Amino acid sequence: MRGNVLAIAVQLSGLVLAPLLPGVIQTIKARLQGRVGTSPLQPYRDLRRLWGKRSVAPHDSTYVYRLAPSLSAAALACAVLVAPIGASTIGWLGSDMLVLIGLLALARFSTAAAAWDPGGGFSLMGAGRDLMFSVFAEPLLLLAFVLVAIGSHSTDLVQMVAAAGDPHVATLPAHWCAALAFGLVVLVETGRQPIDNPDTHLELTMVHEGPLLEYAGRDLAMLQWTAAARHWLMLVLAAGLFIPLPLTAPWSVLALAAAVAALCAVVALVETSLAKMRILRVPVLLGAGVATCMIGLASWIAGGTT
Amino acid sequence: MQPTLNKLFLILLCGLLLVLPSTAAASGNLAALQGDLRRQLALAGPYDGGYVYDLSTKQALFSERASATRPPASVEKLYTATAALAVFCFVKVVGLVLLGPHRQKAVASSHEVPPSMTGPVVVLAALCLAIGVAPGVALGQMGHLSPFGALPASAVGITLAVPGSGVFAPVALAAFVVLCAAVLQLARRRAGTTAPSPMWICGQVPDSRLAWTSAGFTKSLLLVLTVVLRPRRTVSVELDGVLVHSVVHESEVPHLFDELLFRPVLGRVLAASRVLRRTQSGSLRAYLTYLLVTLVVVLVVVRVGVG
Repeated sequence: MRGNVLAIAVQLSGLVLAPLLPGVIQTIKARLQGRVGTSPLQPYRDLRRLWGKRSVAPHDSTYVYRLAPSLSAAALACAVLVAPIGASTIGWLGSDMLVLIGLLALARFSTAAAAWDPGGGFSLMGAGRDLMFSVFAEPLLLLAFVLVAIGSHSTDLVQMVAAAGDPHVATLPAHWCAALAFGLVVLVETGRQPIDNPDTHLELTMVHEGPLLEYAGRDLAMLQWTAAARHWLMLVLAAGLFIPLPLTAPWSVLALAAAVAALCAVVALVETSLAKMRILRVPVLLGAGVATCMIGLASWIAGGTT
Repeated sequence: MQPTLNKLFLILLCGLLLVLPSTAAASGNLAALQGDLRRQLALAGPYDGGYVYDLSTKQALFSERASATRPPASVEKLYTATAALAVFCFVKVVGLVLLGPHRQKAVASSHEVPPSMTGPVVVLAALCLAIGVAPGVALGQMGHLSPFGALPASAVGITLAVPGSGVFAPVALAAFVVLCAAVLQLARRRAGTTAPSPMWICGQVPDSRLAWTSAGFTKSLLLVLTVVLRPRRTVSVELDGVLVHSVVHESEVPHLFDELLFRPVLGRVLAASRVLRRTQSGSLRAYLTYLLVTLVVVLVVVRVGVG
């Protein structure tokens, strides 16, 4: 264990608190659109309802289909326990940034393989699109991490979060280029507009929901929790890496909560103001993120090795 | 040029260390058709082992980089782009070959091969998995080959803690993921038996002609990377009066390495050898003439002196 006990408790409770974030985003979004909307606790009600139901399995599906929800939920649970809260982490499962990238890829692989198992066209279409996005988003995530690591001189997530409050790091253009790129990655990983519409019920437009089409009951509950955990992971990381927060005991947790709430509001605002992009335009947007990162890198090389 | 050789070359180019899991995956996937054991191996072995291995390699590259003055981050990006592409590729191959309903009649009557044939694949897959779970063992040895110098002995072990990077604990990671997935799987069982259900394809009747193809799966990526991959596509519509009689659709992704690199080089080499072949006629008189000419040239050089 590294760091503060309270922060580590929050990190553990992230497994339970995760569904709150999509709930909050949906509520804020509804208010911005002039609707009453659902309560922020709605995802918990959905999960409870789904947890009480039996799972279903299409004909000809094998254990690949049945195993995928557990595996992707396990990978994301692991990722939540790796992402540090206020420069504190459990640390048993590793604390390096590449661990997160690997775990996200594992979750993606298991759901995509499960889409092949029953062989339904709509699941496969969604899975194919999701993997296509990941081909561009994963390098972008890595590049953003690399630029942050330049400031903190380490690829250790704890040190990267600790360096966010360093006034020297805040003057690095590379750091803020990474922040822009990371914002794009947050939208891709959480499946929010303008990348993907989480509220869609049209199979032809689905990206992240596509592979979930065949699932029901506890399987679907696990997959929905996985999506919520992705929100938690990405927003906590965005707040930790790019917003200078205090690092001492209770204040670090409170400031992080406020920052994550503010980021939820930003995501809701983005989702309300932007329409969903055409799918083939998304890689162009992510390419712009890569270009931003390259500018940051160039500025760092031009500014000398600091 | 064989397409397999071409692919192997590309894989080598993308990252030498990706080769091990990829070849294992290829052998695993091609050898197996619809065996349950094989499915398990093809899914678990190359992917988990390969990817974790891949990650730990990247990790090692990275930390060495941190101590160097300039980070060639474009190299890193390329490397991870190939990792994400590798995931896409694995999903496609595994899905197409091993998963889903039968796509050909012959496959429906296929049966599992004897253990003497599954054995080697099991060993390969187990090795992949072992390297993935305990990368320190191989990495310590391979560190000597690195142009950046060997890794410090303290950094390499069951957990990797290379200077300038965070902790990397693949054993704990693998154990946690397996344990967590097992607990969730048990919880899933407790809800009751899984109910069989028809597949949801928007209310249509499932039909093998509507089955998803591998080309469809990667179509979106192909469209995005049109500039790089330059796919060729021809659609010819045969009209019978005003009615469409038949539509022929052909599409192909050309092997750019073949067409732009190997074929021209091979052509030049063959042309040069054609010229050479004319001089090597096999005739004894010709060779005697060559000897004579050489002798004369040597004598002249000796007489006149060089330099």
